[in-house]
Amino acid sequence: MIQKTPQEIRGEAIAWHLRLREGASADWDAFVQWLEQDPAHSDAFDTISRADAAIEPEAVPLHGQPTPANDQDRDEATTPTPGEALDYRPGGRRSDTPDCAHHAADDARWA
Amino acid sequence: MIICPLRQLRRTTRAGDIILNPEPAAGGLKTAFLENRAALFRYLCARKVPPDEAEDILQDLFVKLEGLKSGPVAEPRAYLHRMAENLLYDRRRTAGWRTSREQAWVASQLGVSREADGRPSAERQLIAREELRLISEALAALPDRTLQIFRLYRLDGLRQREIAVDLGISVSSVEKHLRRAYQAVVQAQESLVTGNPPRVRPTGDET
Repeated sequence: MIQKTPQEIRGEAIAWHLRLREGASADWDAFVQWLEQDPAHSDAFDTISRADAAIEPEAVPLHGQPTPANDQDRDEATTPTPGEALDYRPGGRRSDTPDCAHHAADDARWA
Repeated sequence: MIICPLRQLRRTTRAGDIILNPEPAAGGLKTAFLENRAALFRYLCARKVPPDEAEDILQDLFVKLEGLKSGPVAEPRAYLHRMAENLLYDRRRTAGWRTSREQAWVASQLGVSREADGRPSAERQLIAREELRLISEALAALPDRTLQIFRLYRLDGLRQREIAVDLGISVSSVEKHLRRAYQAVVQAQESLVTGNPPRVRPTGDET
């Protein structure tokens, strides 16, 4: 079994945090399986919950940095078709656990 | 520049709050609770709750259901898991978990040792303020679009799909922005724990 790095686990925990806010029963089932894979997963999830709870609205700035033009391009290129939007459920098209390789690819695109 | 008309006033949600379906009977939830008790117990165990405490939490949950006025819920099992998670979260927070298992985990992952916490509350308040400052800085370093999406999600309580529709982008794009924002927040918090400067642009160099 390949050991995941703490960064990978954190990325997965964030994906779960997002998925569970609107999670259906099946999402929670999948989440339990993810938790049971590695005790570190539960701790990582705690870390995300705590970080999220630490955010006070007044601490969230109104504006960030100017958005690079290529961000705009990517968004337009991935505009969903109506069918796609209807199909969507957080994580619904993925396997049980959020896909780490997928995240890594995303991160590369942010660079 | 993002122009995002909010179609209606939405309540700000606490992270993890779920939107209730305002109809039917709490009796349905109690039935669902009894049917899913074993699954909820398993969930709490997977969240590293000792068995006796897991029983306490389930007891608390059941008592809460008794007092619940709201009616039928579209996804009772999801709803009950969320309640269990919220109860667990409150317990860990009350128990001062910032210095216990969660920080121990961070410390062990990062190879930083940390003494037991006996700090006075004034110092804790200072730390909390510093934490907010770091989070604020990390968010301000994000691209404006990412920050706007994060605000809609976290402060206005919009669902990912609603944000996607409002902005005319895909749900997966929304999720990518949110993941990036949360990475920044968590890294800001870790920088407080380790004393290392935050890596506000963790995923690449600006060119």
